[in-house]
Formats: sequence, structure tokens, C-alpha cells
Amino acid sequence: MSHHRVAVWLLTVVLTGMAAGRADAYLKFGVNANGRTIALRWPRLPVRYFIKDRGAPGVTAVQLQSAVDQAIQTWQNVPTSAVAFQFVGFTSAEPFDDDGIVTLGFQDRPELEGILGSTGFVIDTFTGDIVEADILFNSAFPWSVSTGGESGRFDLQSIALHELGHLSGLGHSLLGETELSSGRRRVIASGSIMFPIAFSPGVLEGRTLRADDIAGISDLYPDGNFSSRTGSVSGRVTKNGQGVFGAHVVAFNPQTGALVGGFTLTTSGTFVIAGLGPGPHVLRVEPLDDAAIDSFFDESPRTDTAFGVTYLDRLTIVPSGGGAAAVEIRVRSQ
Amino acid sequence: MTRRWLVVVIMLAAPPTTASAQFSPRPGSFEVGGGVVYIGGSAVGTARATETRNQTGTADPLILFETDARLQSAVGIGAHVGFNLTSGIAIESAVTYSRPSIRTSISNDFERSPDLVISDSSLQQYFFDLGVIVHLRALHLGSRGLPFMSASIGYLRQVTDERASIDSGRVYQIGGGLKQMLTGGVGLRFDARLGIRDGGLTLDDQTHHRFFVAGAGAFVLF
Repeated sequence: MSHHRVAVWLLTVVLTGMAAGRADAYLKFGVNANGRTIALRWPRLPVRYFIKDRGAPGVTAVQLQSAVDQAIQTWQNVPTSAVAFQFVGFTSAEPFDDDGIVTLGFQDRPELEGILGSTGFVIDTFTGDIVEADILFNSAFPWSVSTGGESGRFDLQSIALHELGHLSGLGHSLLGETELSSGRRRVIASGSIMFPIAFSPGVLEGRTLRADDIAGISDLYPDGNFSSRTGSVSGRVTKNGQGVFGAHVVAFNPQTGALVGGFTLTTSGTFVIAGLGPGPHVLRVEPLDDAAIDSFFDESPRTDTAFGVTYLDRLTIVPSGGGAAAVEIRVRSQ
Repeated sequence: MTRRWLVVVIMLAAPPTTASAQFSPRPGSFEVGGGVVYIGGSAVGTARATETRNQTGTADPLILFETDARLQSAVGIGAHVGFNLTSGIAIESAVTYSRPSIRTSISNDFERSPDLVISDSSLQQYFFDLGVIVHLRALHLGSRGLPFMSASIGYLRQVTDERASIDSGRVYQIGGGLKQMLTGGVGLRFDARLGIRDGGLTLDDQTHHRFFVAGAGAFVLF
């Protein structure tokens, strides 16, 4: 078995995106093995994890463990997913030590400008299995574990929820809107806790999963009849007859209000969005322009952002347990 | 609008008034018929694609875009079987098939994409109704024209092509019309109804949607 630590820094950043990595499908991490892309996932559940026995200013290691546990409960409460975690104990090991254990903890990393937290993996490049994963919370930032939040401090539970999504195998989502402020990106609103840029200090909205997150974790670790009760849409995004790489495709279910996003990840512009509730969906395509491209995948040069928001010219009806007929969404240069 | 339709239908169908014996269904007789049905459009609902704002407290969500959908009017086909309990009252079952398209307006895009309208024509819609017909014998139109009032409750089934999605609900209809006998137990039937759809394809919390139905066809009485 060949294990390779993959230099995947999946980062929740305050102002700018810096994460890199190979992403597959719509919001799952993938690894290229023998010419095919395999989604990263844990082969066995629950994921057993340790908490680093070091706190941060204003937060003890025990409080960190409590915040992480609350975030874990949120993921585990998704009824259509089997993902599960188990706290083993506190450890003196550091996050990102290649030691075979899953460690979550604080590190003082002021050089990681704008990075609140990051997740790293050791993976089996043949199977896509996650062998080890660690989470680092950057104690160079002010943190809060207060139930009601604290002004000027980032909510630790929210960031833990995001990083645990990565640790489970989820990549970043582009369901969010940002604005440039003093040369840095600020979130206006988000439709996924896996959006790469965190909410502002004191905001607690990052503690709640959205439809996009639920679809993603359920797609990775389906439970019960998730697969038979949901469906998918697939197709191509094209411009002047050519496939568009890196387009953000959003499926909106007007019956439930669910927004689930995905990307075109081939040069032919193909995409698949799974985990959708059955019924009619509106498909909307937009360029990847609300975060750094390399927050999503490591093929920035091929990503086409020179087109306008475009809707598919008809509703797409998603069946239960299957896929809707493939569609083509034609975008125009802008 | 509905009244006007009904009046027009009756006036077109009414023959000259005569003093001969008036048409009245025989108790215990059956009526079988079919024809074309016009089903008016109805609202499906509005919905908003939203994202959570980066604010503390309760803030209105950011609207990514809005949708407003309608079932378009459609012409379908229908068939019915009735049984005359008395000359004045009949019970009836009916089935109606149509293919209305879904017209969806998309507006208010956060990134200022122009408003647009998209449509989908993959829906197949069935009404399975059970109702009561009251023949208004006191309002005979000539010797062969018999106005009636109707009320029915039905099962609605909406299926998309390839059975990708199935919605069901109930349909309540009330209206009236005219049966115009021709000869040999054969007649023409015209009717207009107002309906309320409870369930079926609905894109918001509003579960009751009104619609209009008009039909024209032939029947056999035996």
C-alpha cells in the first residue's frame, strides 16, 4: 500500500482563498489513481480523533474539544448520512505530524496570513481512502467558544464545522457572494458552510448546515435510502460550442428551496450534481468569481470566468434514484 | 369571466324553443361520453433561492434569484360515465388527460442577469373525478336542451415524462352546462367549471390553486 501525504491545504480563510488541491465531482475531494479520479473518503467509520492538549488565548483544550464535539454532532445529525466520529482523548501530538492518528488542535501560525484553519490528509493514492487527516486551528486569531458568540472573535464551532467537512472529504462550495473591500474579499452571504471564506467575527450562522452541505456529506457517506430517494442532474456547460472548465452550476429546487452547487471539471464542460431531491429544478451557471480559483481546484489556468450568469432554458425534472436527462447550458462570452 | 364563458356556451348551444315534449333522462339509464377539455392555467407558486447573510441576529436572507411558476392552459381530452339515479340527479365519474406546460419566470438575479422565462412541457396531468349532476328541468331550453349543475371531487395525478417526478393531489370542481339531445339517444354536452387544486405540483406553501375548465363533447344515453 502506498501512502503519500498530499499537499492539500484546505483552508478556511478570513479574507482570501489560498487552498489548493484536486477536487472531483461537485464538492468532493478526489485523487487521480491510474488515470481515473476517486473520491476521498474514510474507509471505516467512526473516525477516531484526538484533541491537541494545547489551548489558545481565551480557549482551553477542553473548550476546543467541546466546540469540536458540537460541530461533530451537527454532521452526525444529518439523517441521510452515516458519517460518524469518536473522540479518543487528548494528545501531545501536533496536527500535521505524520503519526497515524487524527489530531485536531491549535497552533500559533501567524505566518499563515488570513488562514483560520486548515485540514491535511494522508491518503492511499490507489484507493482514495483517507489514512490520516489533521485539523489545525490558527491561534494567531481571536477565538470564541461562547454560545452567543463574541464580537471581534471567530466562532470556533463554525470553523470546526467547516474543517470537519473537509476532514470527511468535502471540498469547497462556491455557494456564496463576496465583495472586495480594501483589496480583500468579504462574505456578503453564503449558501454552504463549505464556502471557503468564513463569516465575520461574532457571526454564528456558520453553525448550521445548508442543503449543499447535506447533499455532499450524504453523497459521500449515504445512509438509509438516500440514494434511492434522491437523484442527480448532469450535462455540459459550453461556450461557442466548446466545453467550459470551472463553471459553477447551481441546482435550485423551488419546492424545497434547496440550493446545491457543483462545477464543470473537464475540458468538455461536463458536470454532475448528485443528492438532489426529486422534482423540478432551475439550473443556473455562473463564473467562479467569488473566491480564489485555487480554493477549489489546482487547475486555475484552465478555468474560464469570462461569461455571464446563464440559466438553462427549461426546468430539469430530477427523478428519485436516478438521473435527469443530460442538459447543455450555453453561456456567452462577456 | 367565468360567467361570461358559461353564458356564451349556453347561447351557442341553445336550439329554438319549441313546445314539444322536453328531454329528460330516464331513471336508471346510463350516459357515456367524451370530448375535448380546455383547462385554464393556474399558479404553481413562487420561490426564492436564498443565502444566509454574514450578519449577527435575524437578517433577511440574500435573494440569489426568484421564481414564479404557472401551469399553462392546455387542451386535453376527457371521458365520462354517468348513471341517472332519477331524471333530475345523476352520479358521474370522469377522467381527463392534458399536457400543460410549466412556465417559470426567473427574476431579481443577484448578479443582475436579465429576467427570463423558461418553460417545460414534460408534464402529463390526469383528473379522476367522481361527481353529482343535477339536471335543471325547470330551465329547459327548448325541447332538447337540458341545463345542469355539477359538483365533483377528484384525484389529481401529475407525471413528468419518463416518470421522473410524480405529484398527486385533490381537485374540487363546481359548475354547470348544457346537454343538447340530437337524435337516437345521442347528444352534445357543453360545460364550464371552476376548480380548486389541492396539492399536485406546488412550489411554495400555497397548496390551493384555482383553475377554470370548459368542455365540449358528445354522449350516448342508453
